[in-house]
Amino acid sequence: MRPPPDFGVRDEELTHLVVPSDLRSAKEPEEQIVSEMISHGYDRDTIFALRLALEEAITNAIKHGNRNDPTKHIHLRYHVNPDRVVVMVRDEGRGFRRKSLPDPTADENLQRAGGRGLMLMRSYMTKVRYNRVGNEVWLLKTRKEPDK
Amino acid sequence: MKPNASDDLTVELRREGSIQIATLRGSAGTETGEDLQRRLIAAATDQPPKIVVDLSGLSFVNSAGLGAFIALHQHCRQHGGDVCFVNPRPAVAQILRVTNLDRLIRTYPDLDSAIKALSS
Repeated sequence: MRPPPDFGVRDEELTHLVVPSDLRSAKEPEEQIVSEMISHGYDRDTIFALRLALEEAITNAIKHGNRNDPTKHIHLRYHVNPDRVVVMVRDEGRGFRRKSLPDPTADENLQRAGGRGLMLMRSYMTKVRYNRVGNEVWLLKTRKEPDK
Repeated sequence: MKPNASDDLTVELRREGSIQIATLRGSAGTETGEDLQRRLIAAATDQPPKIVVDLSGLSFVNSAGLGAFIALHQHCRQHGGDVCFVNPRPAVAQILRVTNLDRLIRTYPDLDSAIKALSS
C-alpha cells in the first residue's frame, strides 16, 4: 500500500481517491491527474503515455479484478510534481499471476482481441510495480526518461 | 489543452469505388472502443469488404481501440477482404509498432496509395 521506495514520492504526498468500479466513474480521476500534468507543463507524449497506462490499469481493475461487479470500488493514490507522476490503482479482487499471461506481440497472438494492457503499461511507463497478490499496480512516469 | 478535449470519437464514412473509407477523429479509448468496433464492422458490408481506416485525426488509442481494429481485420479477412491504415500520428504509429500490429495491418502514408493497394 506504500509507494515503492524507488518511485521518489513520500506516502504523505499522495492523494487518495475511491471511485465506484465502472468506466465512467473512473474517468474522473484520470481527468484530474491529466489536468495536474498539464498545469505542470508536461508534454503531449508524456500525457499520452500516462493516460494510456492509467486507462489500461483501471480497465484491468474493473474487468479482471472486480469482475465488473458494480458494488466494488477502485482505490487510487497519486502524486504529480514537476519531474514525476506516480499513480497506484488497486481493485478488490484476488489478483492474478502475471507469468501465466501470453506475449501479445508474438505472431501467434497478434489476432487476439485482448491481453495488451500489461505490455502497454510496461512499454510506456518508466517503472511498473505490482504487489505480491497482483491486485495493486504502481505506475511511475518521469518527465525525463532514464535509459531503460 | 483540456484534459478531456479528445475523449469523443467520430467515424465518418465515404466510398471510393469499391473501397470504404472510415475517417476517425478523436480518441479510441476505453469508453469508445466497443462502439468503434460495432461501427467499423457495420461499415464492412461489401463482398469482399475492403476498408481504409484514416487515422490522421486520431489523437489517442489504447488496447480497447486496438481491439476494434483487430476485430475489423478478422471480419474483413474472413470475408475475403482486407483493411489498412492511413497516416497515423506519431504517437498512434508508435503504439502500432510497440504492439506489432503494424505487422498485422499495413499502414500507408496517404490515401491514394492505400486505395491503390486495396484495389489491386
